[in-house]
Amino acid sequence: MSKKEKTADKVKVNVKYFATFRDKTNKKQETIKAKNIKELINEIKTRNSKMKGELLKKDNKINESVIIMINGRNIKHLDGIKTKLNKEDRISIFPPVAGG
Amino acid sequence: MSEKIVRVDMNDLEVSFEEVPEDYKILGGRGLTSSIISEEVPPKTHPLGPNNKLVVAPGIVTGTNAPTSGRLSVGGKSPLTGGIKESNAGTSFGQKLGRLQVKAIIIEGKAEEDNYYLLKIDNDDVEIVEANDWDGEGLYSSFEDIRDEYGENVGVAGVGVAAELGASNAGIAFNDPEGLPSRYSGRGGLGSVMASKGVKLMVVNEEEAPGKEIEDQETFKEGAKKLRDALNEHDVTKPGGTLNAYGTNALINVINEAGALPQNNFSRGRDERAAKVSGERKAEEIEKRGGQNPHMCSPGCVIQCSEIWTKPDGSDPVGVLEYESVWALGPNCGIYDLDTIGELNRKCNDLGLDTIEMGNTIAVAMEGGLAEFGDEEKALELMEEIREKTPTGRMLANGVEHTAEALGVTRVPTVKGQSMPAYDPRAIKGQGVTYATTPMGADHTAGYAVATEIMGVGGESDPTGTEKSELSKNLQESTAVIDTTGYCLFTAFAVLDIPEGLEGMVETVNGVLGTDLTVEDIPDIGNDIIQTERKFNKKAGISKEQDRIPDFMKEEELPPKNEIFDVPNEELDKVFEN
Repeated sequence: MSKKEKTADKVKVNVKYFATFRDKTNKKQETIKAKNIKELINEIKTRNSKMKGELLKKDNKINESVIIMINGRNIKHLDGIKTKLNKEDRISIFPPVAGG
Repeated sequence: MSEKIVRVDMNDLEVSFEEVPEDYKILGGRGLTSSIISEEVPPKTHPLGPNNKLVVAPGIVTGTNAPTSGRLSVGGKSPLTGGIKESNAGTSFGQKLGRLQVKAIIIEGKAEEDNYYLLKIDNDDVEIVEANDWDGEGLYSSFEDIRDEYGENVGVAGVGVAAELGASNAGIAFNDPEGLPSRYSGRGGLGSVMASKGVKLMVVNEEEAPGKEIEDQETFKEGAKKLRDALNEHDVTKPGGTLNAYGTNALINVINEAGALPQNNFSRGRDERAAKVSGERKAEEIEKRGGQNPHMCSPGCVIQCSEIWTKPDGSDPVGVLEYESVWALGPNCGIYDLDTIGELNRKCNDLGLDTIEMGNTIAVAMEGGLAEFGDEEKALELMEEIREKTPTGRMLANGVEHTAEALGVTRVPTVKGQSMPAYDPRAIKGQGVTYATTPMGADHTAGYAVATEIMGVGGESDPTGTEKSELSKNLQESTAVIDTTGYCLFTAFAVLDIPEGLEGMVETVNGVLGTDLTVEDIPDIGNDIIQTERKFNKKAGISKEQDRIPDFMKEEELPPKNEIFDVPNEELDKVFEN
């Protein structure tokens, strides 16, 4: 697959950050191009250096306590980090959170 | 010294002290209040009659230095549900009772009409003092009066105007660390039970208190350390974690994104305006105004999820604006302004009303035509009708079902007479199973499936799945035990994921009681408590046929995910076998 074709698979999604992740990224939201959650996470940590330690554990696996939703559904209840992205998906990323 | 039960006979205005019966020695909190109510209250009695009782009980470890253990339970037959009720609060009031070695206060009988009294609880002495001066007064000024009269360090409990009306939505206010009436045993109308006895206020003074008895100090200390370590380690409960940094209101954005934050009386699950009342937004405002966050509801808490909300200029503190309160008085009424929500919350605290039931009632009143959704001024005016004791105010103070019946509203988000908290069961179905099956009526704290379904704490469960009976049962059983220990339910976030924390919790209980309970005993103990409550309810006329979610939620799709509550009745009936 050529580089051009790989880029063509990517879609633009809106990523919203919440709670302490707003401090780590210094922003509330941004638009990112990626084809799946794995790529999206890589792009987020490239753009925001403080997010690496939040999104990934020391063994480079995803931090299961972080909540990542696509259009309101947790990726854990979809295909995890393999979940494909569709154009204009609403991505919401939260640190470990609770209340009630 | 040994622990005692204080029995207050309001018929004759007499107080007696009783030894703790053997069966009750290993209980506290919810386990104790539900056992006493079940034993002593005729299930079919009128909730506001002389035969109902009000029981106040600190948890087993409440009053010790175990972390985050300042909870006390209040029990009685509920005027709102007609069933057994336990409603708990985090306040130093319970810690002081624990250190005075008061296992429980049982208030029974009924004072002569038109007389209100104050219970003054000191070491080895309880006085019943005339308190008619506070009739019709708001609770902020009443609590201030009490501190002026009895000292800054006393614990205070009180009921407000709503309870004077005998309203089904009257809660019992307890003091926060600043002495404000902001910590509530809100749910189920127990404030009216207290007022019906003729008790307006309770004051507890712990001078010369003997302290909480601990049978095995070493086991207790080891357990407390394990639990403290777990709370400091877990991402959700640790200092600087989201609960600590944003309070419970951090959930507004989470639940809104999940499409489960009810708006306009459970008409849709997401609205972009919810961000205006989020925990993140509120924390910014508190910092700007000079409020306080983080903050403890009671001394000794590691989590510190509380706060002090004020007016824009930093004056007139309300106390905490909890997630449930912000949602109920805000988005569920189409209101997206934190200052209006703060003032509505202040009125609830002042009048002695549960914020969840009140917000839902305003939303139903809006649907019934008393105001437009989002009409902030009218919402504030409606609450003043309660203060003025007008017929409309009396209707509203009696809660959602009463108001819906009066106004012909058929979309009524209640189970067993009690309205739902801030999670739409169509989008978080395990939480709906808890709403349906807990003996308490729709209550999120009774088995908080949101933790597992949305936050991934204590395992994973897809919120759209329908096989939820086991999840809800397990959570309900462990919750009944936590509510008995006196630990805050939020400790569960840590101990569900960190086994040493749970062991530590059990060890502190063993340390206090001299027992040898294990983690494996928790489900059975919890089930026993719930079965006691369900048996009371059955005799009161509430059986498993009432373990249901309202029909409209089975038929009307909730945008944006367009889900209905489709958990089959058979699944609901599997939670508890009788």
